Order: sequence, then C-alpha cells, then structure tokens
Amino acid sequence: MKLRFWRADDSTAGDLQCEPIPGERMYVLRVDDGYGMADDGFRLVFCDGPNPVPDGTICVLAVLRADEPLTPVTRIILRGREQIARERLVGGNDRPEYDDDRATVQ
Amino acid sequence: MTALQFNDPLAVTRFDAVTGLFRWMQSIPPAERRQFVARLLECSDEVQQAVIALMEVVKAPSTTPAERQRALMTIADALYLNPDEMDKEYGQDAVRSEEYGAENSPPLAREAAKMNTQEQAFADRLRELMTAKRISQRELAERVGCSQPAVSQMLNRTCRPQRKTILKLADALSIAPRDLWPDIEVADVLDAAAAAHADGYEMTPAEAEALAATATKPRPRLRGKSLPPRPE
Repeated sequence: MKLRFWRADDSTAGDLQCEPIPGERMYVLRVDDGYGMADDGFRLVFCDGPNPVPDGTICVLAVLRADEPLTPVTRIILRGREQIARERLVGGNDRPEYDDDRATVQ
Repeated sequence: MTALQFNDPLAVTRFDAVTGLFRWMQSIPPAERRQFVARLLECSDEVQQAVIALMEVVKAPSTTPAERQRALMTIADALYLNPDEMDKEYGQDAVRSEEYGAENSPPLAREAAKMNTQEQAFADRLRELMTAKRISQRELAERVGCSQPAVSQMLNRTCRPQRKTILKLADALSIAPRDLWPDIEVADVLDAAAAAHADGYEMTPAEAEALAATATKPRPRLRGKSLPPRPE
C-alpha cells in the first residue's frame, strides 16, 4: 500500500476514502479489504504531518479495525502519538544527545 | 518562587497526575525509574503532559489490555525506548519498510518482486485498455467511484489499488479481474482459508481443492456501470 499525494482538503488518498475525526487534527482512511483479519476492513488514523510535505506523505498513527470504536481512551492514545509525531518529525528526527548520568531525582 | 495554588483545578489535576505517576514509578526497578525520569524531563511540556495522560490510561482499572498495551507503546515512543531497528529514527517510512523487509528476508523479497511485477503489469494493462476503449481517466474514475487523481496515480504506480477497486475497474472495463491483476484469485483463497481458520474449522484437501478451483473463476462481487460498446 502506498500512501502519498494527500492534501488536507482531499476526500481520498489514492483509492481510500478519507474523513477528518471531529474535534481532532487527525484523519481516517478506510481500507475496505480485511485481508482475512478483519471482516469490515481497517481504519488508518493519521495526522497531516508536522509540516506540509512536498509529496503529501502522511504520518500513520494507528491501524484500527473498522468495527473498533473510537473510545475516549483511544483518543487520548492517538493524541499522544500525534503530539510526539508533530514534535519529533520536525527538522530531523534524531534523538537529542544526552547523558543518562546527568539527570538526578531530587 | 510561585506557590502552588490548590484552589486552581488545573494545578490540582496536574498534582494528582504527577503524584500518581511517581506512585507507579515506585513499582518499577530503580534503574528503570531513573532512566524514565531522565528521559521524561528531556521531553517538551506538551509531550510530558501526553505521557502523564497516558499513564492515567495505563493505571485505570477500566482500561482494556489492548488499550494498555497501546498506551505503553506510545509512552515508550515518547521516551525513546523503542529504538527503530532500521535507521534509529522516530517512526517508519512504509515504503522503506517494505524495501527493508525484502532486503532481509528471501521470502519477502520474492513476494515484493512478484508484487512489483504484477503492479507494473496492472498499470500497463490498465493504460492499454483505456486506450483501446477510448476512455479518459476522469470517465473511468466516475464509473469506478474514485477520483481522477487516483486513476492517474494507479497508472503511474504511486497508488496500489485495493482489491475492491480492481474488481470495480474490471467491471467498468468489461474484463475479468484477473486480466487486470493476475493474482487476485489468490487473495480470495487466502481470505477464505483465513476465515475457515478463524472459525476453528480445518478444510479437507478436497474442500481446499474445490475452493481453489472456484477461485479461478472470476466472479465480480461489486456492481458498476459497464462501458458502452466501442464506436466503430
């Protein structure tokens, strides 16, 4: 599966239907094939990336079964992943240098 | 020094969260606790807040095992405890991931090569049929129910179609699905086998053979509009 060429106002990415999650800065792509693992298919939850990417690459945060409800707990997890992605994928995503010994717990 | 205002609901919430977090940390080994705190302190305020919210999810008795696992994986991501095996960077590039799998596993390499060949054959065949039937990308998109850019991307191999889309394309072009994507029956057999396995039912060799024989007969399951006859 290739997921590129998406823009924020697009209702599809390739041949996958796309819709925003109300109240969030995240979107859902619907994959109708279950590949023998999910009868109703899957949902790919993604955010529009930390910044616009020339080729429209998206950042997939989670793959959920289509029949899996988007519970408040799931939303908290997704928001956490979104926050990490938006922050870490900006301007290079290498882990910052640090020294384990420098931190102390007072 | 600013005193903590305990009549501030937000401050109370944060205090409770941090207290709970430290209580949880008492239950993990000191070395891991130290590493956890060190890495948490390196995170931005926003990520720290996210981690604290996720810890609440982990601790809550109502959280399901799957939710707890996802929350823990996300915390590990936040604290750089999930080193990426490929390039030591956060996240994975899906296309790169497929290439990496092929580089490191002969069976995956064979599958990737087969997929590449079939995808190229699909794109070539689709272009050939559209030319022969004098149908534009926009017209085909309307018949299939997708966007014109999606058709363009399939032709240029920047979008690998879903099986559903292949069936719709075949119907719209009045051809058998396997003429567009030769291995599409294999997917049907795998789906049926997986469903049988999920039900705890094991097919006999005769049943498997019959299923495979059935699958070689293309049966479009999705209805679409057929093209009009080609003008003479």
